[in-house]
Amino acid sequence: MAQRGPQVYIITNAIQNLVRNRGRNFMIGGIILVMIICVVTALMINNTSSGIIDDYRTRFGSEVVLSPNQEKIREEAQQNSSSGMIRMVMPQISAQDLVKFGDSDLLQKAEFSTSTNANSTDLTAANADLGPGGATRGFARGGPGGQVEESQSTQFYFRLINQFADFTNGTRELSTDYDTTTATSRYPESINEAMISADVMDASGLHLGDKITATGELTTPPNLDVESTDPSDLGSSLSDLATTEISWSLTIVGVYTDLTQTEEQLNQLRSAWADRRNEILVSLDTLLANLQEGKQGIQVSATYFLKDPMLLADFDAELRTKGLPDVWLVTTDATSYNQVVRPVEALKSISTTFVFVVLIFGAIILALLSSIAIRERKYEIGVLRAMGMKRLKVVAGLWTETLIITGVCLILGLGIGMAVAQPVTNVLYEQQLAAIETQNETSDPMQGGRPEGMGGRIQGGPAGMGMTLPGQGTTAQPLENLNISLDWRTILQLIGIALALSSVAGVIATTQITKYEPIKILSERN
Amino acid sequence: MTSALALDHVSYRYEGSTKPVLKDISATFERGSVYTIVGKSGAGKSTLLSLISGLDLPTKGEVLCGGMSLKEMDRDWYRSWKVGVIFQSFNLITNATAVQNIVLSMNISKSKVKDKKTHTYELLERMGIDRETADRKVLKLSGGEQQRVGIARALAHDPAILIADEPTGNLDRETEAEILDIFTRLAHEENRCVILVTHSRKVTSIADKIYSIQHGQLSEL
Repeated sequence: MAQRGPQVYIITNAIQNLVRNRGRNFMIGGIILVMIICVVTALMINNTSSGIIDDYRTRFGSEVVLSPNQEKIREEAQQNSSSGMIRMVMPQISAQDLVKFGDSDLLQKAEFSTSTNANSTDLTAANADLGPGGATRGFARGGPGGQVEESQSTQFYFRLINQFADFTNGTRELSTDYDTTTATSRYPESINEAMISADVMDASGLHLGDKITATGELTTPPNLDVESTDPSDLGSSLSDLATTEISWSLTIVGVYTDLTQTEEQLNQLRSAWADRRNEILVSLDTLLANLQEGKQGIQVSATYFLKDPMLLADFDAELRTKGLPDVWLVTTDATSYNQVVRPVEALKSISTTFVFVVLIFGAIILALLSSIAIRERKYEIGVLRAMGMKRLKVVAGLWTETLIITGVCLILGLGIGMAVAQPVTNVLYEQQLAAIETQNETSDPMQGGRPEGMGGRIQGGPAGMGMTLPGQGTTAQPLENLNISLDWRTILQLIGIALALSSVAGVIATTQITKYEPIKILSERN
Repeated sequence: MTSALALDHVSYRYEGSTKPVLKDISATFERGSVYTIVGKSGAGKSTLLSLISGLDLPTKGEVLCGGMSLKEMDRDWYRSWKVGVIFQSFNLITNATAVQNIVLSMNISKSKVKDKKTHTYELLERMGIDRETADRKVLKLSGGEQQRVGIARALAHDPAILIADEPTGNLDRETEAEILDIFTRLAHEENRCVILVTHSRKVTSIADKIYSIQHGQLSEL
């Protein structure tokens, strides 16, 4: 039989002591158990809340929003008006600038979505009998509502876009039906490579590797007289639009199948242009290759994501040096962030306070109990010391007892804490939601919300060179439920706390036992 | 030859007291002999016992074990290994069983005995404690039984020096005789040094040397 280690008796004796003094140990264990349940619950809420807050901080705190400063635009319009009539012109950011702004070391990434209308004599559109659509020329004319006027001009069958997210979100899929021994269907990787739908491929009788030509139009926006109140001025301006034809020579490298349109939806289409199957997928560079300074026709929208939400001020300064006018505000989506995160933050705050209160009171109670327990066991300690047991071993024995109690309580506490954490969270979270809802109802509607001034949203911009701006009009809603989970971080924190708690007992024991001399203890007793 | 235990001009004064309890005591205790120390209550017997058992240190002079001062020795080791002490009030862990008390003592002294429990039962049996009693909590044992457990515990780690304070105070005559016989055998047959502090004439009768303590002075009778 293997000989047990020389110090194993400390553990054996500790276990025997736990059984011998079970009444007292049940009381200490009960207090530790209650503390651990409270801490487990609070930590689970705290860590889950932290995770949610971090996630939302990354998402809403780092997505940059460029929005026009309505007040400043109004002020400038008032200053420029000599007749007393105010006509506000919504500012625009050129596609070139949007691309330029995206080239920053402060950004984690810049996502561009580009598209333009096109025709091609090499292609036969799906639903071609519906005819073309999607007039492109137009521009924003100022005034309340940011009215957009369009001219009657070239109609298109196709759109060139760089929308590849559809393949990951399952609305399009790569078709391999057209693969040959020499060519395999793939996504466009280089400039002037294109991907078309299987329907257009079939209707046009094309093969992978075939070249096609697509043509589009760029327009030069007229110089509007913002002071004019005569509607005929607008008409004359529209007729003044100068167009420039642009073209792409594209190689078909891939074929896709559209998975979104049902038969019923297809029957409701009013033009071939509106049919998703007539979208030609190309790279961003392919679309930007035909971008021309001061001309509209290729829609570019940009979304910028900062590496860290704290870099907002630096990014703002950088955009100003790159030419972003003062009428543009550079912000993060604070509304969405606050909408979702505020109740969670409140809950986190409650749980943090709770953890601290429980730990402070718990530590005090445990220290008192340990002190009392050591006093009660003074005689036993005196006997052990008289038998030659070293102080440290006596402390180790007492510490082992506390560790065993804490360990058992930790296991039980984890189980019970996991069971009660979710219901407790639900109650607290509902209270937070209700409190914040009440607060929102009684507060100024402009605060924390998106200002809806004159001119309204500029999302979509004019039909021409335009952009969509993220964060305009948040749809973010507070979480309905906070799903609590126990992760390794929480478990490790709990083990740390449990060790800290038993250390409190250990330190008390060490301090007191150091003061005890066996001769004094035994003579007092005798 | 180095004596098992020696007192070299030992004096002791309690903290805060000006009057010494023990005054310049010198004596030697050899292996193979039984010593008894007699004296009236308050004469300093228990103080002397605490010094030779390593629970306290003299304010002056030295207690020497094998020629080495206890001041220079690890006194925990001395108490756990070199001496076995039988206290007048037994000093047992009351909510533990007799066996647990003795096994724990053997563990503290790092006894090499492989089967400590069996050894303990045998030891207790020699002291007149059967297995059933051995497995009972000390609190449930009579004074005599507790005394026997105390003696067994002192002998458990096979010490060279055995020190006892009124070792037979709670024993009946028959057991007292048995225990005294054990002490005699431990000294004479197993070559141990046995020091007994007592009032009992019967205990004194087995002594090879009798010391009397009076007014803090030790003298041989």
